[in-house]
Amino acid sequence: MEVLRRFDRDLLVLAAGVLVLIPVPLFLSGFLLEVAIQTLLFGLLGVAWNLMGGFAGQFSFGHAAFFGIGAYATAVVVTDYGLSPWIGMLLGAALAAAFGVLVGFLSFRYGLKGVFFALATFAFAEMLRLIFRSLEAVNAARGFNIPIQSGNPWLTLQFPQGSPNYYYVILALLALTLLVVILLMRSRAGTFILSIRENEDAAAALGVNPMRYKLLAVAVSAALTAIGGAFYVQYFFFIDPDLAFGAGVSIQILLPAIVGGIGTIWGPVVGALIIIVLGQGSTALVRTPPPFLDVLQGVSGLDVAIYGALIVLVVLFLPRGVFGTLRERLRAA
Amino acid sequence: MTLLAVQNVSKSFAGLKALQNVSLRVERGSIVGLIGPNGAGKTTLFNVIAGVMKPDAGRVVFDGTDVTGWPAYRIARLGIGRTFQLMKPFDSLSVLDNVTVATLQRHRNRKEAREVAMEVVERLGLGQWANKRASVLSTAGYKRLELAKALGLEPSLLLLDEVLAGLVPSERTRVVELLREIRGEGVTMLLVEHVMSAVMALSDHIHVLHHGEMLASGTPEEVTKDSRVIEAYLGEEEHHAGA
Repeated sequence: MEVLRRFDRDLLVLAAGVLVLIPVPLFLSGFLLEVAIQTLLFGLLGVAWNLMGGFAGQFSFGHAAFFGIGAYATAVVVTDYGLSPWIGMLLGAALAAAFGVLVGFLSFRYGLKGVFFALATFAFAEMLRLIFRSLEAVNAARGFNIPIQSGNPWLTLQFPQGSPNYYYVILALLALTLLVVILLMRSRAGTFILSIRENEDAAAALGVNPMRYKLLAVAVSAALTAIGGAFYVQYFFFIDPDLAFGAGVSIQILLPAIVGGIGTIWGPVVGALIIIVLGQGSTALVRTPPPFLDVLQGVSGLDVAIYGALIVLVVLFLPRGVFGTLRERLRAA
Repeated sequence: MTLLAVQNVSKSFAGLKALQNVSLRVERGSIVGLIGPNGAGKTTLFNVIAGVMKPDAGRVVFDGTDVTGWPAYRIARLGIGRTFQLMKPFDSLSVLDNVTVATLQRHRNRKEAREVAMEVVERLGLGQWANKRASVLSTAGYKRLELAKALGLEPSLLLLDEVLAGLVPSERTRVVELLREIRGEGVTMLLVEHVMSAVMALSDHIHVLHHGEMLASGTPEEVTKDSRVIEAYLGEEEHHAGA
C-alpha cells in the first residue's frame, strides 16, 4: 500500500510542480531564464539516468552515448533532410533505445557488474565519439550547425533568442520524462526492476527474468536521455562529437542523481537545481565578486574549483544525496 | 505419482566432484528430506534443480517436463519455489513488496497481487512489518520472509534450504506446524535441514548425500538404522555434540 500511495503522491507533486513552474518566465529573463532552462534540461537527463543507474542499479558512466545519438539524429534530420526536429527526437529516442539494448545485452550476457559495467558503458560512448569524429557522413569533427528553418516555430522548435518558449518545451519534456518514470516504477515491471537491483538471484528465483527487465530499464533510460540530446541541439544550434559523446557529458548527466539522491524520483531534479545554481553562481561570483572578495576577480579556473569543492562537500556529508538524506530524516522523525 | 525426478546428475567445480550420479524422486504431496554433512552437495543439488547451475550430466524432470538447464526464472514460473540458505531479502523494499514480486507472477493485477501477498505475509506472522523495509527484520524474520516469498509463487514444489536453522525452538515448532499445514494444501516439499528432529518428524522419505554421492535413502526409521549413515553423518553429529 505504501508504495502505491507514494507513487500516487508523486503524480500529484508532478502536477503541482508543473503548475507552479509555468509562470516562471514572467519573472525571469535573460541569463536567469537560461539558467532555468539548463536546470530543467539537466533535471531531465538526471531523471533519465537515474532510472538505469538508480532504480535498476546499473551504474552508467556512458550516458553521453544516448545523449549524443539523440542530438545527432536530430541534427541530421533537420540539416540533411529538412524535417522537423520532433521527428529527429523520436528517431533518436528509438535509436538510443536500440543501442542501449545492444550495449546492455552484451554487458549483461557476459556478467559485467558494478565498476566493470560502468567502464563498458564508458567505452561504448568513447567508441561512438571516435567513430563520429572520423565519419564524413556526419561532418566528422566539424559537427553540425543547425540551419534556420522556416515554418511554424513550434514544429521547427526554433525560437528567437531569449524566447520563453524553450522554457515551456523543456518543462513539458521534463514533465513527460518524470511521468514515464513514475508510471513505469509503479507498474509490475517497476517492482521487478527494483527486485533485480536488490538481489538478482532472488528475483530470478521468484520468476523474474533479470535480462528482460534490466534491458527494459536501459532502453527507456536511453530513449529519455536522447530526448534531452535532441533538445540540446535545438537550443544551442550546434553539436560536435565531443559535445555529444564526451566523457564530460556522461559525468554531467550522472551528477544530478548523485548529488540529489540516487534511486529517488525527485532527487535528480533537486540535484540539477543545486548543480546548475552552484556552477552558474560560482561563475558569476568570480566574474563580478562583491567588494571584499575582489581579489577573486578574473582568476581563471577558480569558478570550476569552487564548484568542484561544493560538490565534494555535498557528496561527503550527504552520501544519499540532498533529497535522499532529507527523505531519510523525515522518515526517521 | 512422481512430481520431481533427478536422474543421474553430476556436477564438478574445477575438478572437485560436488555431485556424482545423484538420483532422487519426490512423489506428489510428499515431504522428502535431504540430509548429509556439510559439503555433501545438498545446496549444489538444489541449485541444479532450481536452474541456478547446469548439471554436467543427468536430467531434472519436473511434472513431466525436462527442465534440465532451464534458467531459474522459468523454473520458478513453472511452480518450483525455493528459499536460500543464505537469505536474500530485497532489503530496501517493504516486506509486502518482497512478497509481491512473487505474487505478481500469477496475479498480473497489482492490487490483487498485493492482496494475495498480504495474506501470505499475515500467515507467516510478518503482518506488523508489512510496510516496513525488509532490512528491519531479525534473522528469524528473514527466514520467514524467505518462506513467504517462495510461497508467494503458489508453487507445487517447495525447495527449502535450512529454513529452521538459526531459529529458537519455539519458533521452530511454529514453522514446522506451518509446513505441515502447507503440505495439507497439496504442496510437495524437498527440504535440506540440519535440525534432525524436524526432518525426522516431517519427512515421509529421506535421502542421505555424502561426498556428492547418494549414500542411502528410505523412511526416517530405515535411514537412522543404516550403519553407513550413522558412520558418515549421525556419527559425526554425535562427535560434534560431544566436542
